[in-house]
Amino acid sequence: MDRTRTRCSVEVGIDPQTGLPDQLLMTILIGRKNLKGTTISADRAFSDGVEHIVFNYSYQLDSSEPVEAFQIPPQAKKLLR
Amino acid sequence: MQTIPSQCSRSFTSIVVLLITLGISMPLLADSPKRSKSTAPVDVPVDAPDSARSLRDAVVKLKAASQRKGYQMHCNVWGGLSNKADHKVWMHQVYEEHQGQVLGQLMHLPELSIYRNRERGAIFIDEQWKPMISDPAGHRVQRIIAFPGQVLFDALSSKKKVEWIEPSKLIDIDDPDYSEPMDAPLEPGEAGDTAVVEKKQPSYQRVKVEVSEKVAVRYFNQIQNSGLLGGFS
Repeated sequence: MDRTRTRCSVEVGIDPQTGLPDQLLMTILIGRKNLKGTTISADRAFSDGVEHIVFNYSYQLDSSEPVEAFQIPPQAKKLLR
Repeated sequence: MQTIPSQCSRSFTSIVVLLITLGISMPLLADSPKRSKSTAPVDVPVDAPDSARSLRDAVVKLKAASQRKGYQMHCNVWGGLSNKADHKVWMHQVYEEHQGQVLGQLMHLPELSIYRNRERGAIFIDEQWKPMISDPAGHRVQRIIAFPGQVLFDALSSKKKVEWIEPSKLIDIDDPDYSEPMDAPLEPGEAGDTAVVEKKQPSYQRVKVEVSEKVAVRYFNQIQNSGLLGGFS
């Protein structure tokens, strides 16, 4: 892979009533070197027929109801310090 | 009395005719529809809300909500190889799906018995609490599942471009009510020239942020350090 050929975008869904984000989609693209050891330049590295690495992080968020306070056991609490 | 030579008189007449012609044609040219009066992009209305400001407000509101009452979170991470311009993955290497809650600086993933903050975490395994990183499942989560607030903060702080987009609609082709779309209506000017294409009002409910390569590399390194990439090179 070629870390010099990367793209990252984040799509954020915003609730029109509350203005809070309710959805996130982060897409990460990484170019790959071909057999000759070179990477195709610019956006063509992520085009049809050109192999590339893709990672998607998708989050659905719901803040309509309050979350109950966490009851963290003392042993676990110690590990968080 | 001096007389004007006939050659001069002819030239003078043609200049007068030319000026009259120009005088008539200038107002017509001015109203010609081919001349655009504005160079502003038509897709972004003047009264559109500021996308970058809306993003910033959303980030601030989520942080406040997280401190005050917390929120539920459903997270999917998937990735692998693609050879399509729409980046659809054909060889999956990673697929993770988790549910949990975020309250202030803490995340709780009940199904894995994990409590974590941004730096460390605790996982309940073999009847005892252990550092999250010492267990393969915990290690994977630590590397792969980011805090939503952090993702938003990274997007906001390293944004290159922020724009409004329309939410994509998922179509269930197994739905009995689903029917194949008919041919698209003709655009004005296309053969027939009878269809009227109504332009939808933007919803301003989704922004797309192009983020710097540095952030992309950081998240990718975390995935690679999780050990899930296997033989990718």
